[in-house]
Amino acid sequence: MKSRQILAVPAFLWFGLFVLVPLLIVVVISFSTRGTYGGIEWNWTLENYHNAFSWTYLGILFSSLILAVFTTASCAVLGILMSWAMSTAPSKNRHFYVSAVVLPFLTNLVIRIYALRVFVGYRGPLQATLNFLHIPFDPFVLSQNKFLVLYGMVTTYLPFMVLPLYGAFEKFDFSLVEAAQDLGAGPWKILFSVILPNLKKALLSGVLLVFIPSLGEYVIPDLLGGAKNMLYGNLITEQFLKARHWPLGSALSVLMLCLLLGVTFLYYRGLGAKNVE
Amino acid sequence: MLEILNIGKSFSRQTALKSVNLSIAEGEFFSLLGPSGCGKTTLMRIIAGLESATEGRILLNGERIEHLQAAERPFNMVFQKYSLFPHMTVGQNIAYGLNLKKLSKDEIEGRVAEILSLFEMSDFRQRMPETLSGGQAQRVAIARALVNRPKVLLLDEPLSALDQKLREHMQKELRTLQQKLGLTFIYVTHDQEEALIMSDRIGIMNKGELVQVSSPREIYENPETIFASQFLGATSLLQGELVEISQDLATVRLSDGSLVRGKFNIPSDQIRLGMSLDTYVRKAMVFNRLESQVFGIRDK
Amino acid sequence: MSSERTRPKAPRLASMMFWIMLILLYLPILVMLVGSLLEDKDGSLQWTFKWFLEVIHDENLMDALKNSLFVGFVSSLLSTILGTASAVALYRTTSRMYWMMEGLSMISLIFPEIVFALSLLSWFFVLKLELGLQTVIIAHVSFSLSYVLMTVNSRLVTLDPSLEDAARDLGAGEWTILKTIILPLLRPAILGGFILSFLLSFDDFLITYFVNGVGQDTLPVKLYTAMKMGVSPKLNALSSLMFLMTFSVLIFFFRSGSFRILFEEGSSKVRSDEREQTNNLL
Repeated sequence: MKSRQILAVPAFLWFGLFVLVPLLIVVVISFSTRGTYGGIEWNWTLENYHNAFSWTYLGILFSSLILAVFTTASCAVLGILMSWAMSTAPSKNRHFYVSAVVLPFLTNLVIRIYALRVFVGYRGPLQATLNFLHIPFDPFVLSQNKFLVLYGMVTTYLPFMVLPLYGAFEKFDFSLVEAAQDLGAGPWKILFSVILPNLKKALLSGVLLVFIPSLGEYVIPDLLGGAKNMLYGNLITEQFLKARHWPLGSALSVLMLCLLLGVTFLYYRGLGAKNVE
Repeated sequence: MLEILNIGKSFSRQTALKSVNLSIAEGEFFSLLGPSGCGKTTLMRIIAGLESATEGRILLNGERIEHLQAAERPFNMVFQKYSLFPHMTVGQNIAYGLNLKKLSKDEIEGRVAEILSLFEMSDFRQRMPETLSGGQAQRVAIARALVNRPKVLLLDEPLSALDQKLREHMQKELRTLQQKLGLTFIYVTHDQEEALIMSDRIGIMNKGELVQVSSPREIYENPETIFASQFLGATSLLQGELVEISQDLATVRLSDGSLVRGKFNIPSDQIRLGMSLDTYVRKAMVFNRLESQVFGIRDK
Repeated sequence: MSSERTRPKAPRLASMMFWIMLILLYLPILVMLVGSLLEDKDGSLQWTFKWFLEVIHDENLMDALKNSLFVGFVSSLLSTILGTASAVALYRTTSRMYWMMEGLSMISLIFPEIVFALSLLSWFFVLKLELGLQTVIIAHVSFSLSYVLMTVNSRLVTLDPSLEDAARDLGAGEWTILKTIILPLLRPAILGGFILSFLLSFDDFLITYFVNGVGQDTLPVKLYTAMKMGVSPKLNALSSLMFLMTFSVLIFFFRSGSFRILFEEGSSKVRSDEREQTNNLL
């Protein structure tokens, strides 16, 4: 063992103390009781889980799942097309394209959502255009709806899909495409039979990278969805910051984590089985 | 001066070196020759102290040094890709080892200037490595090692990145330098011609074993194994029947009836007329003596 | 790298999709920027800097800006030190520690932000740590640490291992090699990691929202609370200012190529192939 490995100790401690332990704490709290004024009392109970499995909450979880699946699927379709276009662009432009896709992701999410609200909001360009074209609309529905949430999610998480796919495209041997063209395959046939099988790994990791954070997303549905479209992230946040029912919030979080771990596990097992074929 | 006794190295499952024994004399230009993966670089790195052997001993003038760190051994190494520190000037690169030895400023200054003028590189002192040509970078790399006045200079395929012409030039330069300084060189290469031209002695390595150690002429004319002869350029393998022996030449009749004559290396007590032989033919590469050379080696 | 010569173009639909998405990504931001420069005077729109001046003269916002800068600076300094030390400590080791570190940083990268936020809040509560800028700093270090690790690591794997051998051969010990060879060569990556974690901290909303103390809002939190009330030209100006700050830093660093390594997986792959080759040579 090299002596400089000592230098890793502080980071280890930090990760342990402020990433691992907090996660365990959440699990512990999920078995505790809510205090009268919102604190935690260390009386062990399963009641929080009992509550967490109520139909209302499961319904919210379900609509969050649907949204996450839609987000992931849209990102996958868009990501494949975009990274395909990017990687076959002239090589001097490619770096610029990658930056263009990644840059917004590194700027503030709240600002981007805000910009979107300006865009669809009262007297914003979208409403102005609709007015101009004499298309009737409900301004409240227009500025807060499910589609807008989906749109916000997709534009936010797209880089997580594009980056791994683009990386894989860069390593992809494009002479295979030429060979397929030579054999008479059209572009979509080539995509499905030649390109995608070689991009499988990147696509699958992109899917996870989009799916996992989008299941618990809070800011986007909160700002674009309105009160009617409650999602799991908002539910959890509400338990912590408004209802001050931390044990229930913890139980809901643990449930979501278990779901995510389960999905990831099944996903990789399915993957492993497929690779054996 | 340098003795390597039973040095062996094995990784978790595979063996990289099988008890190598070697003794190198002071002022000798010794080459380790072999194909990639034969263990020659591992052996050199063990000598340098950059890797540890799993068994065996290394003696320098009779003293054991295998437990010493690379920094504590009076050897210095020239790396395949030069490995000049890209963030330091040529001068800083050369002074690096001297600074670590905590020599006085004047002493360092004097030695760096001296070595730079020896390599006719004095004007390059303030240059960054990335601005140097391959040949220049190579000289700096050698200067950086030599300025520490090592007892042995280890060179790991130092010329492999240069083009043919420059390589030939540097081969001569290196050989001249070595003779001028009277320094011991251990030189790793996979280029048989390079080894034959430059070395006092050559050790041929294959699959972690040292298969033959002799002078270039000896190794060229009397390779002891099929591997050595093939590695030294024998290309055609012909089967034939031994029909005549005179002194050290054998005549072999090949299957199409033609006769080939050449050296052979089968012990005389095992040889008899009419035996079937594997015969290797090669074109002469160096020494310009024979157009072709035939020697039979019976398969072991 | 696959051959540069032959890359048959993607179908037109793919490149159309690419441009449409780019427009969709940037158009709202553009509208916001323009909106921040317009004033409605009796029904006609006029160019103005009024909103920007209002933002600059708003002491509340300037306090939030100070908080944001302070948190950003301290947290990225900490995570740069921790991350660089750890990356340097563990590279080219195949020890269990290396994989544990990979696992831990993966966890902190991939976990839903909300779980990250509430778990830290709970932990601070259990520790009885008073919420305030100090807890925000701790939280920011925790999520930016893995980004620093990633940035520094991707540079480390491109370093020629024989440089270290050369230094060792010339008499340097582990620590000297670190000081004289590795750290100087890592400088651009360390700086990149610092800037990246500063930006992440400066732009973070959700985690800050959970763990900050009363009256110690950072800019994004202020913005969030304000926009709950609705859209206004002054908010446009604030958002535009924040966006431009981040964006200009990013453009600068993208141009200098400091982040490039992050997004070009290829580079690290090439190196590991090369390493395999050298291992085979031994």
